[in-house]
Amino acid sequence: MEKKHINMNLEKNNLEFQDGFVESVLQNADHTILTIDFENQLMKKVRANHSYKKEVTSRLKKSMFYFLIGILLIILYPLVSILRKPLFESSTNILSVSVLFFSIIIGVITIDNYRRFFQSL
Amino acid sequence: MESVYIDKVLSGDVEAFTYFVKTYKNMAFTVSLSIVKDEQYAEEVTQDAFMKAFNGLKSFNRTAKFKSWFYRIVVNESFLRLRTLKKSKPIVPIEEQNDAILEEQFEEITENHSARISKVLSLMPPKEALALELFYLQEMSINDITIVTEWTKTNTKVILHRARKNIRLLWKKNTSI
Repeated sequence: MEKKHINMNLEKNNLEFQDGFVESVLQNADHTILTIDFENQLMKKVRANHSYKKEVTSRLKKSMFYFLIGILLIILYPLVSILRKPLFESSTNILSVSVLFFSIIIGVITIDNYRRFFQSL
Repeated sequence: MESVYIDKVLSGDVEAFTYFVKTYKNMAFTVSLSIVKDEQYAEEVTQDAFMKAFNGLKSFNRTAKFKSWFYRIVVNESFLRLRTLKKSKPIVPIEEQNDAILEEQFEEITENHSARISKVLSLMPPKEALALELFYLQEMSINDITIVTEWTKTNTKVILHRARKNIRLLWKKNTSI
């Protein structure tokens, strides 16, 4: 019942503007039609855009890989140099576990940032 | 049908986008032309709109109609272009258009009936011309127009009323010359 009421309102809105004169004027106007050249030109542009995006994506993937390796090395080098002594001397694994934990968090954040960036492309 | 092509494009088949170009190019062009009033600019806007649609297809909400979504892009792009054009060439409202200027413009045109109609339409304010185009030629309902243009229902009706009044006014001036 409610749906029928909405449909009736819709029709009423559209009927309100029925105008034979305006319709005939508009229909008799010159309507330029775009040629096949336009289509070809546009598709050429679309293809170029697509291959550009692909290229950018692959380059970014490479850069992400190197960036992650770099981050890992940056984190590991000072940690190893600082913690070498206590790690060898003490028998506790707490430090190594926490280093691993923070490395994972940083890794996940970095990957997530890149994932968002790829999605926005 | 369209969702099949959308899936194809999203999976990397660029050629599937030809379907959308073939289906909507002329409609997009006429909608854009009603706003920017220049064939060359309308063609550029149509191209930009297609590129935007291609790049933004991922964000397209599948529950909505592709046609409405795409028309919205075309309308937004056209008004964006119009804003830059307006800076260089201000548009004079119909009421302020002097009869002598109108006469001059109509006299440039040959006796070709359809060319005179096109001239009348080119003198219409962009929003009104767009409303006429969408309602009478693209056969959209008031509700569809509100989706495409982001105008309110009342505003759409007001624009349509004004457009009908102005097209009659311009037609009268045109035929009396």
